[in-house]
Amino acid sequence: MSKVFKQILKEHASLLGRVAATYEANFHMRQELLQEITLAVWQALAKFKGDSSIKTYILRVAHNKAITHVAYHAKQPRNDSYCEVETPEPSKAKTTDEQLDQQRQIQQMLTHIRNMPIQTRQVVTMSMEGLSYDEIADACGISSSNAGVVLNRARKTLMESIQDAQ
Amino acid sequence: MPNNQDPLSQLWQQQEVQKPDYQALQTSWDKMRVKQKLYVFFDVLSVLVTFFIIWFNKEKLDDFTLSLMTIVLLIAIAAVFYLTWLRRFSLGWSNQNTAMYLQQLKKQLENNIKIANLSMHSGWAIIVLLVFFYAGLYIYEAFPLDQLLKKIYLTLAIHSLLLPGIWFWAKKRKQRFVKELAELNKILEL
Repeated sequence: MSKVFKQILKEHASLLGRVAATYEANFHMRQELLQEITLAVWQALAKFKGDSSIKTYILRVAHNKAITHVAYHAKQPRNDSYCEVETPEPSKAKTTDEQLDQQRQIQQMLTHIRNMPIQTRQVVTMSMEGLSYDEIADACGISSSNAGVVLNRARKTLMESIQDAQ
Repeated sequence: MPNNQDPLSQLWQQQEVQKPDYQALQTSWDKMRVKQKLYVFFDVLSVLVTFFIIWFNKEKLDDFTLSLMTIVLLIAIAAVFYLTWLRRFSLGWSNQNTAMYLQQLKKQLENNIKIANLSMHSGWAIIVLLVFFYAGLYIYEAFPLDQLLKKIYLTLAIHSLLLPGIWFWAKKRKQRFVKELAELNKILEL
């Protein structure tokens, strides 16, 4: 792996982890997906021509790979070694009520996002990664106005579900 | 417009995430490259083996066998080109926009089903070719009958093991791709 590519992957590791979390609830499957996504991004980096920001490019490749993973694994029988827990080791750091509440909200948000249609899921998460409507539209292959409509609808239901969890 | 002061974005950014295993990534990368090279190697090998058999035995082979081997070589060359054409979508489309990528992904899955079908039914073609081949050898009296029968028994023994194996392997692959395509269509319809 070239040093430049390794540096880019390290800088975007958290972002890739969040993409994986969007598609997989199971801890082990999420790690597997994260590896697949990172590998796909690494392959694709050689073809990056600078037509968009590197972040938009990485997100586009990552979501594409994640969709392939979902289609492949949806009907695959899981091995016994794949436990069904979302996070096998809970954080050992001391948590306040406020932090617990925040973790609950995050879990609620992720559960809700994972139940969204693929395109909506992609639009919402890209927006939360700070991409503009134009960048989201370019990555998804839809119009900016369509991206805006999808995003506003999804955000409304997402906010409601998080408020319900409080 | 999305912004970093947005409560949803803040919540999103605060989630604990897993990190990639870079060592395992390097291993996967190396394995993938070896796999890609092996695919090309076996495709080329299938053509080269037939070619070298013809080339080094052209003096020894009778006209009928030589003609048949040449036809097999031409079919092998055509098959290699066709398979490469069907696999073309798997080569680096992940950087397209998602709408286009999904079209390519569907097309690739459809092509994978075609490749699996081709592998499944190549067994029949091999049987027809062998019958034709041995009938020709018998008619043209290329070998004494007992020698010819020995060759037929040996070929039958090898192919009765090989062909069902290929058929089951290809059938399983076809079932997997059909399921994947159905699943992809289902998740996109949601």
